[in-house]
Amino acid sequence: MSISRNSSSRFRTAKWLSKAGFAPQVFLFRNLESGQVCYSQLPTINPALVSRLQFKQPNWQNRVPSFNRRDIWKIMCVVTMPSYDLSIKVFQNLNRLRYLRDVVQKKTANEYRKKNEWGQIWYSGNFRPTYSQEAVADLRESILKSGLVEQKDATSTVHWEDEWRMGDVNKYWTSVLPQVKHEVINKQRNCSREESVILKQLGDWALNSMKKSSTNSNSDNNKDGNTSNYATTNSN
Amino acid sequence: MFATKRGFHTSCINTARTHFTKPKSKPAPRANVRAPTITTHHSNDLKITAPIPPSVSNLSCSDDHPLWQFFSDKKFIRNMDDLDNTSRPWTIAELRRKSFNDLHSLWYTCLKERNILARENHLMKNYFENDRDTYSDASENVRTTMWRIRHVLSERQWSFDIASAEFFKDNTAKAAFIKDFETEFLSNEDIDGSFEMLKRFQYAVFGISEYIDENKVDRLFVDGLKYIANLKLKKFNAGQELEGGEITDAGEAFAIFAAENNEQAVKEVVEVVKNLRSENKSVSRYDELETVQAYIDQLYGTPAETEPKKQ
Amino acid sequence: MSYSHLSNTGSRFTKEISKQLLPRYHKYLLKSVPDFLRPRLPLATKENQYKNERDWVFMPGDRVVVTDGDCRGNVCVVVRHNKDTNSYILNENGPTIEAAVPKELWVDGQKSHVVNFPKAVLKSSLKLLADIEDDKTGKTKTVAIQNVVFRGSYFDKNYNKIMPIRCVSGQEDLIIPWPKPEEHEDGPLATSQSICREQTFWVESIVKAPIPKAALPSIRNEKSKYARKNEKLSTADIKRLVAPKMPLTDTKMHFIAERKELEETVYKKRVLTEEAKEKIGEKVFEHLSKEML
Repeated sequence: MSISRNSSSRFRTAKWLSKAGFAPQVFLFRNLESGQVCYSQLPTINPALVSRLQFKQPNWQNRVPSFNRRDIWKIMCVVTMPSYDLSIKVFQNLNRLRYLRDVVQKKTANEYRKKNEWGQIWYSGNFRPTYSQEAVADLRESILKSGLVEQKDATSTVHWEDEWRMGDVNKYWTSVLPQVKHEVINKQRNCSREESVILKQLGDWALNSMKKSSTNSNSDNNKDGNTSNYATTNSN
Repeated sequence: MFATKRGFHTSCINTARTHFTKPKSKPAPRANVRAPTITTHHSNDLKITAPIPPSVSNLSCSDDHPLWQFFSDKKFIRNMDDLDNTSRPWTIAELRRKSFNDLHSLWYTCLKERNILARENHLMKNYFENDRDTYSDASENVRTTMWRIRHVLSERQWSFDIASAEFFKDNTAKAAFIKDFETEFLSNEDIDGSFEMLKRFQYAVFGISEYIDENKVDRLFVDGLKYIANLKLKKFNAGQELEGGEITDAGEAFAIFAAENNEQAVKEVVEVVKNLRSENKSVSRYDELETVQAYIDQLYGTPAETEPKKQ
Repeated sequence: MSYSHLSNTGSRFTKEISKQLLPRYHKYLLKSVPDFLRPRLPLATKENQYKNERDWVFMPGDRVVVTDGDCRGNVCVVVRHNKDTNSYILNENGPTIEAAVPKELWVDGQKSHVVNFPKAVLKSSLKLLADIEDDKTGKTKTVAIQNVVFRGSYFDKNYNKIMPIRCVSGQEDLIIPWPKPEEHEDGPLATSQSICREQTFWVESIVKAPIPKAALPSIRNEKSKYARKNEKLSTADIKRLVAPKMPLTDTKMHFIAERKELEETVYKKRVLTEEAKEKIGEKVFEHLSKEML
């Protein structure tokens, strides 16, 4: 269940997340109808929080999306960072970039967009592909500036909905962010019930791998950690 | 002005602000102020960048992907000169000579070509925004062949329906045909040749295929079995030794039918039939179909599709 | 994105509309097309377009003479048909127009913007040329034919189809043969002749249906209101379905000729001539007069 009005409606700190048992992850959800993307710290969308944070100056081309239909909100990617601090940094960077695009540097952002013959953002029906493409660019920028690059041996994993969405891997990702691994979520069917299970399993997987890496760094002899392998992912 | 809000007649006066209303004083500063919980902030060197478009370079497609069937030589779109502009559709007369399997495969060849052309036509109309009908005209040509295939098959079915209705109408045509065959078969000196004839005859009139396990056992099949058994006895003059001289039992008929086409084999089977009769073994007319099916399964090693009912 | 090409829905209506809008459409077409591509003749509607050899009269390869315009009297060869305007493109002897071509569309070796284009010619301004033998001198001479008529048809091997026989009007024993068409390779979808002619269907059984029963609903609409279940075959249908009579063999022809000869000589019915009748009458009269007297 991607949309939950009862879920956390405020920014959550590293301490809160670790205490509540969430993984150091950032979730990007995409609206299939309009192509808009929203970011979340938890595997659910809180409509109030998202519309407050990420749709600062809505207009007819970038409306506050409707959260009434959970079937058209699908996970676009799950970013797993090596620590809670980094995941929070990435989340804050994403929100800041959205604010820059929507408010501060409106004009520059608009110059990058593909236009139709009347100078509007290109659309077909309600769908504007530029928003999800901007989200990918912002994700790259926010990971790049999050401090992951400075930390040696730290790796991050991005689980994408498909191989297509991330853009040219060599051109945009591995050349500047070699620490980021890209994987594809292995979906069997297209339903929200399965998606929530996948997100849960990805969270468990992230927690386990974080635990493993911390024990490994503490004592290299103890290699017999929790090695449960989650079959929801397949390597790219 | 206060417009149309409903209330008591005094509410207007009570809610009105007058210049006698004093502003509230500021609240006293709280002693236990909570420290801000958010201590982290976004980076300061963030820059907005150009959107990253999705890329097909991450995807790989196998050469035998089924959707390649919608492409000609894996081309995005064929050149108009590469289309078949000179050929004509198959004529009905040409198609009449072709078997069902040939027509069936021709149909699917056409269908695939039409799928390719439809895709290209769609591209032409929407991607290149060209109004030319070259691809749809080529497709129309292929369509002509397709409707003609259907026409020929339909015509074939009609002729079969009418001919079989005529043949089985009052059985005189059938009886005359069978009688003609019988005299020709029995008078033919060439054993192999006559049994070749019989093979074609049994398929033509009783629908008994020479590959026994392909057959569906029904009343016609059993009738044919009996007729052919009798014909075989007549051919080798082996029927006199039996009482009545004629086979009416399906089990006996099957034994003779399955025997090899030479005098000795048939006579051996006749001995077996005699033994059966002496033991009073016979198949009831009501169980004939199941029994013959069981024999066939036994002989050719195919398990029965449905288990015979146990009573 | 338009999907109108997928369906015929409303096509009758649009056809009706387009008939009324056709003149205006042509006007804008002429305006929007560059000069050198502009059709100089009125476009023919789909119904009025020439469809067969009887309509076209001149096929590519025919020699013709131009009867009006600047090139009046020139002998040309028909190069190809222009289906859109029901006209003929002639070779370099025919009428041409000068038009300016933008540099992007220049052909290799082109040096000037101005290029001569062949001008399409209508049927009415062409006359067919044919070589005939002069009766007096015995030499072949080329004549222009005023009018052409079509009498009967034959199978033309070059065209690989039935073609009408082209004769001179008023002197129908003069047949002008069709020109040999340009040979072209088989298209990619073509089936070879041997495979096409190979017979693989034989009627084998009267109890086994020729097609699987489950395939029947996909072959014809069982509930079609157009099904010809009770309809009788018309004479035209019968003519089409019944094979033509085989031509007689030589032996048979010989036999018939012999028989005819015999009939004329041996089996000929004897007819009483007036002379014979008179003779018989005389005899009878003679006899009777003898008896009576």
